[in-house]
Amino acid sequence: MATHDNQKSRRAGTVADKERECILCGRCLEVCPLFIATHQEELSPRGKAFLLDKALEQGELGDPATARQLLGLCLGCEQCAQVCPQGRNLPRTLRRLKAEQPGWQSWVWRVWISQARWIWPHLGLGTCLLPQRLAPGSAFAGLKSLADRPRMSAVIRGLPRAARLQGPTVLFPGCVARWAKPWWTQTAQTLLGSADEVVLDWSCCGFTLGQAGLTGPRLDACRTNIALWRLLGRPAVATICATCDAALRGYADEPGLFVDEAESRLWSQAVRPLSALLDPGDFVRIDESRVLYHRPCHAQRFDRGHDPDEMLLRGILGSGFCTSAKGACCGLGGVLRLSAPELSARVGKWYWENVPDPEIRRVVTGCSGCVLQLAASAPDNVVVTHWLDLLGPAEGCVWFGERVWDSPGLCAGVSSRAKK
Amino acid sequence: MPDSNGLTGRQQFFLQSLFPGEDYLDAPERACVYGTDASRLFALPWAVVRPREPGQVRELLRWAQQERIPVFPRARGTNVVGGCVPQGGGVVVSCLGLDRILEINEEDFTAQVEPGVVTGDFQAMLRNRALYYPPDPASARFSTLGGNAATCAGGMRAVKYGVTRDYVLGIEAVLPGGEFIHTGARTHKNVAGLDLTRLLVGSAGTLAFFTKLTLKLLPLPPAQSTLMVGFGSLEQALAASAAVFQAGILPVAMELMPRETLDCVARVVAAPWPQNTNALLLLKHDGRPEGLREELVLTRRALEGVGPCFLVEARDPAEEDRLWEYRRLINPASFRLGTDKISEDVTLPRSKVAEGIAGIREVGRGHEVSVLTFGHLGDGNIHTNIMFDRDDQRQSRAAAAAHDQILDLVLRLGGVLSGEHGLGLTKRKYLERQVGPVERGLFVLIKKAFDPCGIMNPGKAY
Ligand SMILES: Cc1cc2nc3c(=O)[nH]c(=O)nc-3n(C[C@H](O)[C@H](O)[C@H](O)COP(=O)(O)OP(=O)(O)OC[C@H]3O[C@@H](n4cnc5c(N)ncnc54)[C@H](O)[C@@H]3O)c2cc1C
Ligand code: SF4
Ligand code: SF4
Repeated sequence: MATHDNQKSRRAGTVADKERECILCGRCLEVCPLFIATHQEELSPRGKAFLLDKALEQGELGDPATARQLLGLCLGCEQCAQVCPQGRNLPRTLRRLKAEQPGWQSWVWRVWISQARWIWPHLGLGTCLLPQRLAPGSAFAGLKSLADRPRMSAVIRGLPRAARLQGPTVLFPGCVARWAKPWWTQTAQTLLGSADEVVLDWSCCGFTLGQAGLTGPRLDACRTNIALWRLLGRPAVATICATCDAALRGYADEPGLFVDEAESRLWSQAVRPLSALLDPGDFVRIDESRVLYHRPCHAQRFDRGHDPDEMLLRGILGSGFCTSAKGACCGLGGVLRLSAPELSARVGKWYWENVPDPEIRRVVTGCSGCVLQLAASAPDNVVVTHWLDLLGPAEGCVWFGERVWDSPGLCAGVSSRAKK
Repeated sequence: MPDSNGLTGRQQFFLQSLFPGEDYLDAPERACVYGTDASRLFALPWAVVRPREPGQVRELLRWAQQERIPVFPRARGTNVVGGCVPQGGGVVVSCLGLDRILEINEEDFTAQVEPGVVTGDFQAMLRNRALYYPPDPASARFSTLGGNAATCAGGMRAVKYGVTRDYVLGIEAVLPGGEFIHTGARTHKNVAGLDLTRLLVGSAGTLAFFTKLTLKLLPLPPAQSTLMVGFGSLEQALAASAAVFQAGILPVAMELMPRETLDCVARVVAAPWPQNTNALLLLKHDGRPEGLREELVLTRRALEGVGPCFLVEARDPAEEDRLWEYRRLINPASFRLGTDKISEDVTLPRSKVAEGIAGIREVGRGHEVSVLTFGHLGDGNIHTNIMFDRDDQRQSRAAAAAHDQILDLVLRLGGVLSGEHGLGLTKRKYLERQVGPVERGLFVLIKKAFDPCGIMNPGKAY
């Protein structure tokens, strides 16, 4: 009989992950943006789990190189991991596979460097990594065009409030805000009541480096950031990018980065999304148009699956707030944008075809990568920004001019302060 | 590689022309997942095709009959009996590209859909229009209407609302050979001729390939609630269940979780039920708010007459969902008892459920294997999971022996081999224990009438 029972040789596998084997139940098909946009089962988490088992572990299928190429087609969004009853996490498995594979890393570098102009802010490559690998000026030429602040109207306004932060708080803006969208940094610092401060010399959060299997550079970035945090006296760290936030929180799971358990705990408590430090009551809505919020896949899920950015914006915008369809993903997917641009584009296309309200003209999100990716694929009449860009000045204050980061001393009283 | 490709170059060329680009695959790395389903059996397909239009299915089946190439319809591959596994080789036909909702008719209370529409998405869309499509397999959010129709999927709401078959009014399908057929109508009543629609529902892809379904809809009941009730003994829980029916109440769902199942779930989450709970009932009711209130009073009175040790009521959807989550956790939690399971969904006449559960437990004890029984008490559909570790020879042998004995027990009590999942590939061999030779002979003749060359999902179900 040609029918083979997968169960037989499952335990012969070499996967050392904590997760249990895939039972092929199909739950993950509900959430995988890549599968939803393409209907192709070979791209689904279940398809890849099966391929991994058949091709790489049992060696039953012909060509491991084809199998690896197929396995690499993943957005890394970890939606599958959130629903899998067996606790499987495909991106985690893939990270390990990539890190183990010789040749993979040099491929990634080659592509990154040749396409750095367009992609480098996405990939979170800080200055610490780029200059020695790039012809001088080339990346920065690309940057300039990204750094043009789009004209857009404010939708909400901050009310003057006194600072209510619990302790010293510093901003981790992330590479995009730092190098390509400096006004996000400015707005965030104003909200934190620290507009005059210089931008700290953080390294890349390390997320995309890790996802690409570049373990060494990722760990270097983690160490640099932790060293700076120590130097600053271990303050609270506010993030404005959900992916950076996830990556920073992930440091605590990495053995050897912290001196002891206590310091690692301190770090976990220190990293907070900026939105979690703000109170919707400190803002007013000044524009009636509806805003679509795109939840980044790496956003933390708090109460009933809502994330902190979502809770803040829902609180401020009320009926003017809506969220994107189930399975909607910007399509960036770390290196997928490079390895399979057409797939990434299809996920993006699905996104815009499934916007719940056709009248939507403004889409906001809280992940730098999502902003860039969605902005690049959005229809002409839709503006995609970070939610920080919804903010206008507090009453009686002059806030955003065209080039906000040049205007000194933004109204100091504007910022809405921490809840706790 | 398990199978060599059974298609000639000319045949491959035909398929590539009919299914251009990525709609045709034969690389084993890409095609392999199409060779398995939730049964975890596997056979490598010769090729996979992904039609986007019904016309392509017609051309495919015309060609397949001519060439005598076996064809295996496949939706989301969540069936647990190997219904989609291309055993013996052939072409897998994915219907996920046929996923349009063609019409929702609020006057006729009908909908026309293509088979690849995901059941849960369809239900969510109807909810926005205050309409209701009741069949609710636990896989509703990730399985399809076509797959549900081909398996006649049922769910917890079957007690009050019935199963998929009760909501399929008509089917457009392609026969092997390429002929389109249209069965049924869009009326809620129809007795002209033989009822081919009901024959096709549950036929597991062995007779024809569905390309369109006409479904019956109901108005959405505006209010609902859930009761979770714990009892000191299984007998009490069963008595309470009988008392509810005797009070003239037909709940939407009535699920049973006996002690072993509760213990198993408590391994993965903190349990809300007290220590002395030996059996738990979950009941769902719906209707208009006034009617629902009265039903709940009567139900609680019936339940309380038996002396429960614990009772909670949930009225808002989020609260209800929290209670039902314990039920949903049984499947993943069961793997804490063994790495492998033989899963049966035998169904008993309601009056024999108590005897059946006791007997099944006894079999488990006799063979020293963990057996979980739980599920749709309201309609007698008792899920039976025999847990074991395949690497342990004693356990494997014991599990197989227990399985055999349990099936015999169920049939002796007047029950059936499967209430929901079907026989597919995994349980087909047991059919003759339940169905006589004359009836099986009719099955063969019917199959021949639809599929004279035996190319539609061969080797499955009956
Ligand atoms: C976690 C989990 C929970 C489940 N819970 C339930 C439950 O509560 N109740 C229940 O009944 N089942 C349940 N199932 C089983 C399964 O979900 C159902 O059998 C479902 O109906 C299969 O749908 P599918 O879209 O996955 O179809 P598939 O598994 O792809 O196909 C099922 C059968 O239909 C045939 N088929 C598919 N499409 C067509 C077509 N267009 N024309 C003709 N034949 C076709 C296939 O050949 C196959 O034989 C569960 C499964 C899992 C994994
Ligand atoms: S949800 Fe997990 S176990 Fe189920 S098919 Fe997907 S990866 Fe496998
Ligand atoms: S990480 Fe995202 S894209 Fe990748 S398999 Fe999981 S759900 Fe799909």
